[in-house]
This record gives sequence, C-alpha cells and structure tokens, in this order.
Amino acid sequence: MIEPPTSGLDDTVHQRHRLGILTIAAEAERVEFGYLKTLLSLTAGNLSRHVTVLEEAGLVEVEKGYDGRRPKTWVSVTAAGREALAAEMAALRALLDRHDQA
Amino acid sequence: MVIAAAIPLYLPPECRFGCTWSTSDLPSVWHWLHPTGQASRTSTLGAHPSLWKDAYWLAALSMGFLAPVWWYRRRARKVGVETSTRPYAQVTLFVLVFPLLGVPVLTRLLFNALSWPLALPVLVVGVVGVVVATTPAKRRLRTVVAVLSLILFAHLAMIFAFGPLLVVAVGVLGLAWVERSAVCTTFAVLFAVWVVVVNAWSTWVYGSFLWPAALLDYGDLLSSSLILVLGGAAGLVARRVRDKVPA
Repeated sequence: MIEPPTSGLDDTVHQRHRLGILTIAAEAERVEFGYLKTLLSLTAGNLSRHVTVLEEAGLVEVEKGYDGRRPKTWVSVTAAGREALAAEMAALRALLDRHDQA
Repeated sequence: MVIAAAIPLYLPPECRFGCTWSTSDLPSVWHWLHPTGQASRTSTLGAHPSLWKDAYWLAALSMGFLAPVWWYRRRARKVGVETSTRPYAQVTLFVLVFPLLGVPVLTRLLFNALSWPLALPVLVVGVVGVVVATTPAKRRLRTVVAVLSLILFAHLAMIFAFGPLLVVAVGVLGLAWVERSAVCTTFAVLFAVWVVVVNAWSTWVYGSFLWPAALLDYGDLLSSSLILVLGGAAGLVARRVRDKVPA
C-alpha cells in the first residue's frame, strides 16, 4: 500500500498556530504567554486553547508565576515537544524534496 | 570601575629605607596559583604581587560573570522570552576552577616535565591542531574550543606587563563579532590596538623615561579603561538615537 505524501505530518503539531508556538518555544528556555500572543497575533483565548492542546499532548509545559505583582504564564517545550518538532520539520523537508523532484 | 577600585592594591608601599620583596616571602597558596612565578611585574621594587590582588581579581571575575546573568534574567522576565543560561554557567564555573586547579596542575605536569622551550610549542601546536580539527564540527563544540583557547591565551598573555588587558581586548573583539555593531567594532579595534601599544611600550620601552613608573602604569590602565567607558557611552547614545527614529 502506498503511503500518502503527507502521512509524516502530525495534526497536533502541524496546525499553524501550534507550529508557531512550538517553533518559538524551542528557540528559548521558556517564553511568556504575552510574548507569544504578540508574536503570533492571537487573542488570549485562542492562544490558551492551542497551548492546552500542546500541554495535553505532553509537548509543552506551562508554569504560572509572578513578576512582582503581575501574574505571568511561562511556556517551555518538553523533550517530547522537541522530538515532535524535529519530526515535523523532517516530514516537511521530505515533502519539499518530493515536490522539487516532480 | 573595577580597574579603578583595584588601584589601592597597586599603590607603592611607603618605606623609609626603600622597599624590597621576594617571592619567597609570599604564602604557599600564592606559589600554588602562580606555578611559573608569574607576577604583574617582576621587578624587586614598586608594586609587588600579593594574595590580596589575586583574591580581588577572582572576586571581580566572579561578579563580572554573575552580574550579566542577574541582569539578563531580570530583563527576560520583563521581555517575556528567556534563553538558557546553562552553557554560560558551565563556562563560568570552568573559568573559575581552571586558574585555581587546572593551570597549577597542568603547568606542573607539562612544563616541569618538558621545560618551557619544549612545552610551549607542544601546547601551542596542540591547541591549533584541536581548533583546526574541530572547525567543521558542530557549533557547540566550536564554542567550547574557542572558550578553551581563550583561557589558554589568558594564561600565556600574563607574561606581558598588561597581559590581562590583552585578554579583555579578545573578549571585546568577540563581543563586537557577535553583536555585529559598528560602534562596538570601532571601539573594540581601538581598544585592541591601544592595548597592544601599551604592552609593547611597557615591555620594551619601560624604564627609559624620566617620569615615575607608577605614573606610566596608571596612565596605561586609565587610558585603556577610558576607551571602554567611551565605547559604552557611545553604544548607549546610538541605541537611544535608534529608538527615537521610527522604523
């Protein structure tokens, strides 16, 4: 049976905003909720929903704290998250190679 | 500020019948830290080496490493993005442990066994070989090799009267390369050139002038630190101007 060319893509990771969250979080030790909201141009509710999906999949960790009196929520990528992102990138690269050869 | 605060340690002692000192008067801890008998100046007159100077510079070095981490973490909390400070902490630990343990042990093992004229080329060829061999390697390994080479350079540069300034120059040039800033590069090059002149001056011309040696020392140190202060001020002004101009 022939596998479809996009079979390597993971739906949890591939969604555009979740891919953005994982990419940004993987570049840093941890990122703050407000920083992600601005960078991805998302509403707080929308971002929260995507972060929850990633957290439930074990791809990110959420840490709540304070900067002075201001509440802060920090997001950091887990080891499983880094692996999932690397696998997603490999799948995308394979797709690009296939497209270039066609 | 760090250099200015160290000046009292370098003031010549007042002695009625002239001051003399010998390294044999120094405690055994000093001899452990300086296995080759290195001192900032090996003259028997004027400022002499002491354990206080070593302790001061070690404390200054520790603060110099800790302060940027504190500043960075504080800023990261405000900005909302924080990268790992673990490699920085590892390098800091290494840089502090290396002069306390690594240099004394390595010097006794290598230089005492082979003698200076043979050990020095062996060391230099070894380091250059490792650097060349790791050039195509991964970025993390290249960083480690670069840091180790800088530490080795820091050790060897101490044979010059103002060797520590040469190490600072390499650090500032590295910063200019990382920052890709025209202002930083200009002042880094200016500082590096001036530090080479200061070292050449102190090594080969020293003593041939009529004014006191201490005046030369302070003049050299203050002029070098002035370049860094001016560079910092210029960077601050450049950033403020850039922030005011709309993108």
